[in-house]
Amino acid sequence: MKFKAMLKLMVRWIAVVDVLTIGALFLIEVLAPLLSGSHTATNDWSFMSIIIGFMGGVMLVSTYIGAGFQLGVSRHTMVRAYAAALLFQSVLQATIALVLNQIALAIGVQTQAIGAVFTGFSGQGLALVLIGWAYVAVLTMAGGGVGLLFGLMICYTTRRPIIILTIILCGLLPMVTMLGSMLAWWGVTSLWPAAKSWPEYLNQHAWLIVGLVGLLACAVLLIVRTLYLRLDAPKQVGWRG
Amino acid sequence: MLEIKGIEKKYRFKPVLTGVEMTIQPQRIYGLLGRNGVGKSTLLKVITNRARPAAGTITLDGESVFENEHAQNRLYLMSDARLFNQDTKLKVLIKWVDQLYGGFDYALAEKLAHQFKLDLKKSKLRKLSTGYQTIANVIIALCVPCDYIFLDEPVLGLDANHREMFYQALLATYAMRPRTFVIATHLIEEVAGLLNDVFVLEHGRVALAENVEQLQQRGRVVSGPAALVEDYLQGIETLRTVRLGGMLTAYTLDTPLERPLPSGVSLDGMNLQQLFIEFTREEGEGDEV
Repeated sequence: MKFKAMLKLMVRWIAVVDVLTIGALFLIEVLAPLLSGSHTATNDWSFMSIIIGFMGGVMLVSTYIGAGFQLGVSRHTMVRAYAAALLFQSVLQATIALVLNQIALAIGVQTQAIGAVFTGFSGQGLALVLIGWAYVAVLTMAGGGVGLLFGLMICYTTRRPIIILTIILCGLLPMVTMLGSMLAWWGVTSLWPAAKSWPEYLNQHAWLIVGLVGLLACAVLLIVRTLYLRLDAPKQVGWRG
Repeated sequence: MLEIKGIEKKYRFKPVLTGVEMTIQPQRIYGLLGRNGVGKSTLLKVITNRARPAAGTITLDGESVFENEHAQNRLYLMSDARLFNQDTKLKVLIKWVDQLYGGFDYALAEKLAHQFKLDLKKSKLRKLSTGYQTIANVIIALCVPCDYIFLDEPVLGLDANHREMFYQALLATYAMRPRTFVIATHLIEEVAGLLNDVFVLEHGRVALAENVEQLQQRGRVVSGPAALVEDYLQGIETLRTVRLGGMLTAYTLDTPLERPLPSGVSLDGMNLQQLFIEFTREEGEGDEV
């Protein structure tokens, strides 16, 4: 009962925040250049999804951690609710990104499919759409997981050095993941050259990156779970106390 | 029945609770008393799953309360901890409470809010004064459908009129729907009339658990000439003795009422607050400055 009630609160909140944020970014990045006569739009859904996912995670934990402790929700249920809410956010964000990108393409904006960020990815049609959707979803999830972790630290510490360290760590994580994915691809193809001749859908490192970011998201969520289950209620929550 | 056995809690390396044992019966009003920093709030947090104990068990009708939502749904802690975003509106907060506990008494909340002149629909937590934040918390605590309500400093920041209104509201809601209230407060004199039983925490454990009436019957101040008082209280443990010239005043919980009172020696009762002060007084406290 408590899981459903808490998830309902989180999902309703995250849906509104997500739609508004992505909508606003789309207006600024895609439609605004059109008004100025430019038909060239940036395609940085990967950056947007990490940032929006991150913000979603921070806001989720800072909005609901106190309510969870105050209203008799167990730590286990809260962790499940956060994970489910992030999953919902990822699916929603990836779907909106896909739809908006298709709209942009349809109205003649000079942009490209989301999956095209993987240079050399030779999948077309459904494969391209699918990889784009999955890519945005896992990046949002990873951003959200890191956001949860950051939000938790902010709730429990107000010491500036730790906050700065946390920000640096959070900023580095996606880059480390990308680097890791490239090294992994290099390692796989060095050890097993036949991988280079995999069928079309698997013939580049796109799916490997998606998989590795997915693993990162799972690892961060596991860290959040481990931490959360050991926490006492914070003394107070809220941006301005 | 809520049974608390061997609860221990440390903050970093500092032990706060060192083996709390207590039994809380249904439909009674308890006072949880103790000096500052003795662990009252920590104990209430542990009971309501906000803090994790280092050791011990807490069961509600035989079922552990830790990470147990079924049990936690029967417990509610009202405290001054600001666990909600301060920009939240009261009506949203109440909606959340209703969604998570079910059965929130909206009619009673409206009635109490009207009495305390609090606008439940428009008020935001941040805009409320300390007193009105307490009132909002108290209203929610009195309207949740839980069987065990823990009130940690429920009159913090309230003026005398509002405190009186709160005590009346508490008794009225108790009469309408009897359930257990555990009140942790320092305003002992004010709540003494409400309480059935009292727990006194000292050095991280329950030092006294007793019915208030019986306790007040036991507590006595014996004063008179030192020799007579000493003779009268022979073999009796005293909480404190104050010697002034040849006169002696002794505070005790075990007055030998069956012994005849020597002439010149007086025997007076102690109220709950006096009892508490004498019971928890430490060496050197209250001495002349």
